[in-house]
Amino acid sequence: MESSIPSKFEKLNVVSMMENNQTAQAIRILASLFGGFAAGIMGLTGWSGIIFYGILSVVIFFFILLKAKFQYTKYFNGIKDVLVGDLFSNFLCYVMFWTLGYALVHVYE
Amino acid sequence: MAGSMYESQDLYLDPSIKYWVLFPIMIVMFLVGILRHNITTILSVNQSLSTGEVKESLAVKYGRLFIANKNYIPESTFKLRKNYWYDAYNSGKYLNDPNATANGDMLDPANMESTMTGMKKAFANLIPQYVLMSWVSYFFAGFVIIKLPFYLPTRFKEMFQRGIDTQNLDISWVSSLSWYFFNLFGLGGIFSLILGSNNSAGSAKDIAPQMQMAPNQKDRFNKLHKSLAEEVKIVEHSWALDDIEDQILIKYGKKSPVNNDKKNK
Repeated sequence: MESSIPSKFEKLNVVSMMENNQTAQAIRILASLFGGFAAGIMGLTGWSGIIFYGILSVVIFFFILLKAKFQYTKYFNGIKDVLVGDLFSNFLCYVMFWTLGYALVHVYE
Repeated sequence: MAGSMYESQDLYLDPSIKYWVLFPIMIVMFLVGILRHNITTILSVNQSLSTGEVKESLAVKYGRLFIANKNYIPESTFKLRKNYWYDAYNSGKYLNDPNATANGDMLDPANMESTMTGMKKAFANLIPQYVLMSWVSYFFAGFVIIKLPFYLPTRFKEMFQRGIDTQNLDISWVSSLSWYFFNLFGLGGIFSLILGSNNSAGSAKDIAPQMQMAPNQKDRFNKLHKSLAEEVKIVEHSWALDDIEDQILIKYGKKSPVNNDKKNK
C-alpha cells in the first residue's frame, strides 16, 4: 500500500506538522541543555562527551518515536526531522552548557 | 587520546573571576539577545498585505494544491478547473499588478519600505554583535576564565587565547573572548526555546542571510503565475480511485493480492 501514497504530503495539515516539529525541537534543546550540564558535572572530557551527546540523541529519538507510536510519517515530514532537527544549534547549545558545567564544578573549586 | 593533557596543567582560578567575568558575559549576551528580538519586532511591525497581494498568493497556493491532488477529483471537474486556471493564470486575473516590470521602481514607496526594513534588520543585528565583541575583548582582556572539557588543535591557540601572553599554557584554557563565542553560538537554542523558532535574537547563523539585500519582488508573482499556467497546461488526469474496491479489500485482508493478479490476467 505504500506505493499508493503520493510522495508529497499535500493532504497533511502543514500547521500541525510545524507544531510537531517545534515541540520536538524544544525537547531536543532542553535535552541538550540539561545533558550538557550533566556531562559537565560528571566531568566528561574529550570524545566521551561527544559520545554522551550521541547516546542522548538516540534516547530522545527513541522517545519521540515512542510518543508517535512508531508511525512517524503521520506526524513528521520525514525521518530527518525526527532524528536530528536543527543539529547545529542543538550541538552548540550542548557544548556551551557542557563547558559551563565542567568549569563550575571541576575548574573553580 | 588527550587524557594526559588534562592532567598535566592545573591552574587555580580565583572564584571572583567566575562571579565578575563568567556570569556577566553570559547574562549580558542573553539580555542583549532578548532586547534585539524586541527591537526587531518593533521595527518590522507595520507590514500589512493588501487584498490584491493576498489574492495573488492564494491563487498560487490553490494551483499547487490542484496539481498535487489532481488524481482525486473526477475528470469532468478536473477539465473544468484546468481550463479555468489556465485562463486565469495566463490573463493575470488574480495578479495585484499585471503590468509590473522586472526591475520595479526604486523610488516606489512600497519598494523603499521593504529595502529600508531589510537594512534596519541587518543593522539591528550586526551592531550589537560588534559592540559586544569589542566590549568583551577590551573590558575582560587577559583573563583565563574557563577550561574546555575537550581538546582542540594547537592552531586555535592564537584565536582562543588572545590576550593571554603565556606561551606554554595548555590550549584548553581559554580567554573571555572565546567564552563570548561559545555564548554567541550556544544561546541560539535557548532563544528559540524562549522566543519561538522565528525569533530575531540573532544567533550566529542568521547573520549571513540578513546581510544580503531583499531582492526586488515586484514581479515575483507575475512570473509564478506564468510558470503555473504552463504547469496547469501540461498536467494530465489519471483517476486514482479506479480499483479502490480491490485496494480496500486487500488492505483489510478480505482479499489476497494473488486473486487480484489472476483477475487482471
